[in-house]
Amino acid sequence: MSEHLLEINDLDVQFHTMDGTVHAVNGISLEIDPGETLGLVGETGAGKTTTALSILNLIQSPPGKIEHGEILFEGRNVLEMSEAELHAYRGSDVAMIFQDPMTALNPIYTVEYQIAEVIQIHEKVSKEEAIEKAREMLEFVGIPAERGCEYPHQFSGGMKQRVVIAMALACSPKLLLADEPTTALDVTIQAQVLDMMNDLKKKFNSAMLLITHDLGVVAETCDKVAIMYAGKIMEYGSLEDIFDHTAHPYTEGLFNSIPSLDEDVERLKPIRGLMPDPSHLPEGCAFNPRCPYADKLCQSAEAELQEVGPGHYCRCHHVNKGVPMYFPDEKGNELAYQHGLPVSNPGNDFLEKGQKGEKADE
Amino acid sequence: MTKYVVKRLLIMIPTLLGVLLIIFAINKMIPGDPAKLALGSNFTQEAYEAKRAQMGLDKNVVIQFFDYVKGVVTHFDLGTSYDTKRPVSGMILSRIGITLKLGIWSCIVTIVIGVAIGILSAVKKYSVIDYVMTTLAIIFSAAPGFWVALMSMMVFCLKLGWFPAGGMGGWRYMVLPVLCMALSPISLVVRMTRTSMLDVINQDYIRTARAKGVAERNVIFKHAFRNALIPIITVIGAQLTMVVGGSFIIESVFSIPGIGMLLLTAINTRDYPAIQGTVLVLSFFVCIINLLTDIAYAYADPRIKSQYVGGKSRGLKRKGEKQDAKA
Repeated sequence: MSEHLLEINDLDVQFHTMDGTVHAVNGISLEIDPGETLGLVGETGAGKTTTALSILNLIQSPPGKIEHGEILFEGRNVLEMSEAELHAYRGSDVAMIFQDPMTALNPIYTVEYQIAEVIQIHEKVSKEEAIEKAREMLEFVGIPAERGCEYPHQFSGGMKQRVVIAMALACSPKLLLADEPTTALDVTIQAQVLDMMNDLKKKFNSAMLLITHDLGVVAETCDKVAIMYAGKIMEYGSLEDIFDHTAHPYTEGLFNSIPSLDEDVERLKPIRGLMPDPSHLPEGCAFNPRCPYADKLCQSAEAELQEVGPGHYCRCHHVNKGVPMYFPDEKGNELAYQHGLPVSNPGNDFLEKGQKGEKADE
Repeated sequence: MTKYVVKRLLIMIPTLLGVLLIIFAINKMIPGDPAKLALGSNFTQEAYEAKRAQMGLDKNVVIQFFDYVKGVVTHFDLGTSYDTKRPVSGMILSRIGITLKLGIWSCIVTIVIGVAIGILSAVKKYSVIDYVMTTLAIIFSAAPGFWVALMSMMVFCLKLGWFPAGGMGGWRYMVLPVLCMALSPISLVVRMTRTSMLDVINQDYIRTARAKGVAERNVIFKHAFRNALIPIITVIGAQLTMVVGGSFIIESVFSIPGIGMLLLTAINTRDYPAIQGTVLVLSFFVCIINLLTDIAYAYADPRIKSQYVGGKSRGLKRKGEKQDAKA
């Protein structure tokens, strides 16, 4: 059990707001081993950031509440730690890189002070030593140490992100939570930051939870991948499992929506529809209103996470039943009908049209 | 920074001259003749002319103004009071101590109580304490100062007999005037501190601080409060000028012989030199408070400080920040 660095079991987080209860995270389970990188992929609103904040026990309450579940870090339950234990745990065992570097730094303190603060809290050093180490960290992430006495507003976005990364790595955490660390940056800087994070991760031998919606980033950095949708893990497995043996229609949809250089298409193939409102999740499988393969079963019963290969899990009724998983391009559509896949989803106008067309042919 | 302060001090000179011009003009426009008031009901035309000449009122208005300004600028002579026949500067000096004492104490009370309650309300938002405090703050910011002064006098002096109703003496004489003067500013500061703190507490960098393992007390005071300071300083600065300007209400209700009382008596007796002198001194204090407010901004926010210092540091010329500094 406790060989994992981090183990999340059946975590459930809800936000109780005036407009109703938002089911942000619905019973997810994850493990991360030392030195490993897990990619957490999903659309905006899938509950990725909420999961990361839960690991730090930083869900704002009210309105947020961790309903049940446990988060074990080296065997200790984070959700049952005392205030003092939490202060010692945050920043030193687990550190977080936040999504938006523009707002993640305190505007009234110098950057070296903000890095030194975390060192001073967790290591028994004097203020001068902490500042000294903060400057070393700045050099690590490629910022000249003498710029440490400047304020965040004097830095560009990419440099602020480096500062945030330096701050997260300052106490060599065992686990790094990187919440879309490259989303706010432009592409050239993205590659630099990713390279740097990979290097630093190796140097400090940290494990990492990389939250992103960019599958390219995942391919470059992760060992394992968890695909998240509406607060649930849809597919979970090694990088090869997810990329080469895709099992879940949602994952398939994500891959299909990436533009390809080889094919000359006029339009991209996005997943139709929108992420469901987390305060009114659909009945049955959360993905059913958008899924091209959805049938009556999908609308009524929730799918369980099933093992489809060693260490490869998928939450879908149709997986393991020999139903071919093709996304509805012309060919896939035909195949789906040949296998007699029932189409009963009223929102699925694309397939309905196909059905009518087929009937007319008959 | 020093350069900025010197510049601001120099700008005060035309401001104060402007104030003098306006108050001089108003004095000349309001009805009432100080010479007639000084002579009483029975006087001859010759006596009246002589009095006007003695007071310097027979000269052209423009010349009168420049004579007065010359006196102020060259040897800080604020003229001689028509009423008491004593130099105005001496009268002001003998009374300013009391007004300053009153003002400074009410500032301290305003800042300490206002900020403390504001932070408490923000940290314990939507609790009973928060609701009670914000309701009280709204009531007291709506209640006029003289009414609060009279009511507290009735309760604490006449009914309970805890404090004297007026005059000057030991600390017991100061309690009610200071509290009455501070009450309305406190309620504004409470509301501003609460709003500003709540705004800051939801910022991403507060979450960053928590994720670093910073203890909650330090999150509130080191990370949140210092960022919430700008709007709080603005309100405190504005309220302090009100304290200086509004002291005459409290002074007259509690019969405190301060500069506000001097101004009131001077207006009633058309004592032009005394009016001009007091207004000049009061505007000087308002200017100083404004300057202190702006300096406090610089210490609260490095982004504003870099504005004051000028283009010496890097990356300072950003749009939008100038407005911040002025706001």
